[in-house]
Amino acid sequence: MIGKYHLRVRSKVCDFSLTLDRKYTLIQGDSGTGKSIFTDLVKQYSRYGADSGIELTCEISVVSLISDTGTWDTDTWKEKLNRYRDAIFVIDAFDPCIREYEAEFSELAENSQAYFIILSRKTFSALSYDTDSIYEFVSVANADRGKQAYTVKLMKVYRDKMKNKFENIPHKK
Amino acid sequence: MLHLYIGESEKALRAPNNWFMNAFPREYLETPLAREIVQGIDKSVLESRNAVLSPYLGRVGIDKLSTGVRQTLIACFTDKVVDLVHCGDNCLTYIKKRSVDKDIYVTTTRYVNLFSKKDTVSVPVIIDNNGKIVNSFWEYDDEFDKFGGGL
Repeated sequence: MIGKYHLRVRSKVCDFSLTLDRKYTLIQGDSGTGKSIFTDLVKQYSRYGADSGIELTCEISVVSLISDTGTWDTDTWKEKLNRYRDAIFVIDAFDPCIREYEAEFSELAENSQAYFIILSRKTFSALSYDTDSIYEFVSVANADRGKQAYTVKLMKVYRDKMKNKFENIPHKK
Repeated sequence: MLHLYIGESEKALRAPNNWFMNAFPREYLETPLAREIVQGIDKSVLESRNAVLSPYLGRVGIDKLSTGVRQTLIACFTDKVVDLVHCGDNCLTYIKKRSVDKDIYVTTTRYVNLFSKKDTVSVPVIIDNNGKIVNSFWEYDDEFDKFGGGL
């Protein structure tokens, strides 16, 4: 799978619109920016589809690694990773695949053709991503009442904020 | 004092979100410090033990508090160990401030800068891996290199 994919997830309150141009998209950043809300929306959509009331638009399928009953089991996530070839997988910081089974997950992910959105601050040494793949969420309030209250977009951490990061490190005496 | 263990630790809570909802003593949510933490991180007003007024979601239950706020509240008010991988950089100020009058134990599985110049609060940190007390960024960075090379 190559190329750009646009993903939009909308609920009554939030409107997430993401453009993915690489295999891995890591979303980090401060607490309270909407990472858990985003994964929660995708999980709900993954389980109940359009009946969940969530509007999810993307050229290819967007999948969370939970099982159909909403729980986690080792066979399901491995089976899902193998089954979906052209898909975007959304993985949360608390998902066992990146906590207990990181090595197995890394191997399967590297061999997979799918795209991955990983919402964790951890460093994944076995995945081939670079600094351009690391983003954080920025939210913009909408004044228009007919629209969702907030639109959330991605911002590159190491292009837009690199200068500030270096400024935060004190000089060695 | 702030105790930091670098690397994976079995003492850290595995499911802090669930622990917060099921076992966190709710009376702490009525303290000024809890209100300050929720205001500072989530930009929300903690109205009572159960309700939060959020600019994003309106009036909601405390189950809608962010993961970072929950971790910070657990670290600041109980003796449980939390992993800083689930706390954003905006949570560290509150944890550091609280560590002046309480022993706080945290672990980390990500690179975290506890001596950022942006932060006005600077407190000594005990590295629990070897018991060393660090007071500045460069001492801290050396210790982090030793124990958290891959992070």
